[in-house]
Amino acid sequence: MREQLIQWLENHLQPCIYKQYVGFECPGCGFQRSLIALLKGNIWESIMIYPGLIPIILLFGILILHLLFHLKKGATILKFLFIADISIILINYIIKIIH
Amino acid sequence: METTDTGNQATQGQRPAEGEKQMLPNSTAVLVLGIVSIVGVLCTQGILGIVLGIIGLVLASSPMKELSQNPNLYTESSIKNLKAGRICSIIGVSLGGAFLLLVFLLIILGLAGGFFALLPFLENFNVDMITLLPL
Repeated sequence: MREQLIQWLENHLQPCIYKQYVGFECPGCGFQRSLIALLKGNIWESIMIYPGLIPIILLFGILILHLLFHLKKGATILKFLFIADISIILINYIIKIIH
Repeated sequence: METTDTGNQATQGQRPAEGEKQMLPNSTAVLVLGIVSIVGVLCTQGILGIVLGIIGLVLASSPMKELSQNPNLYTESSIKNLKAGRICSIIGVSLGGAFLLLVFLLIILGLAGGFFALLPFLENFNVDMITLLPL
């Protein structure tokens, strides 16, 4: 099941329009490669390709938990996690452009 | 877990009893939209992020007015949800806007660059065309 999903994802990679026309990567580039690496179990490789993926998955997991169970500090946690996630993605993007 | 929430869901639509607190309308929707807008920013060059963020801000505007009129009427969790969602929407819209602006800037720069790169070839090809250009 998991291998089928990985194969399906690898065969259906969506090309980035931005990268095709502009020539360098957009802030979302690497998302799919990183997801495939994570599904294969290579957590370190996934972080190296796109460090924002695991915080985004965490963000959505906490969002679903918060919606289902009404966590007491859920909104505050989500807010700060969102800001942290955005900062990680932006810093990663700036480093990627400079290199 | 808050016990007041489940009590309020049962009495929704009716007038709240004395001392009982209400859920703010749209608070959960605003939170979800604000958080989903980050994926929109990343995957669609900012466009979907702007759309989701603006929907979130519009949905958040009327509950914010109600909240400022009578702040004691609503449950604390829904107020927190609304405020967090609003902040996430604002961040989503601003980031998406910045990204889209960058894309437009690059497109304009690219068009201008292509135009100026073509000029020498145009000069060789047809001199009359240069005089028609507004330069």
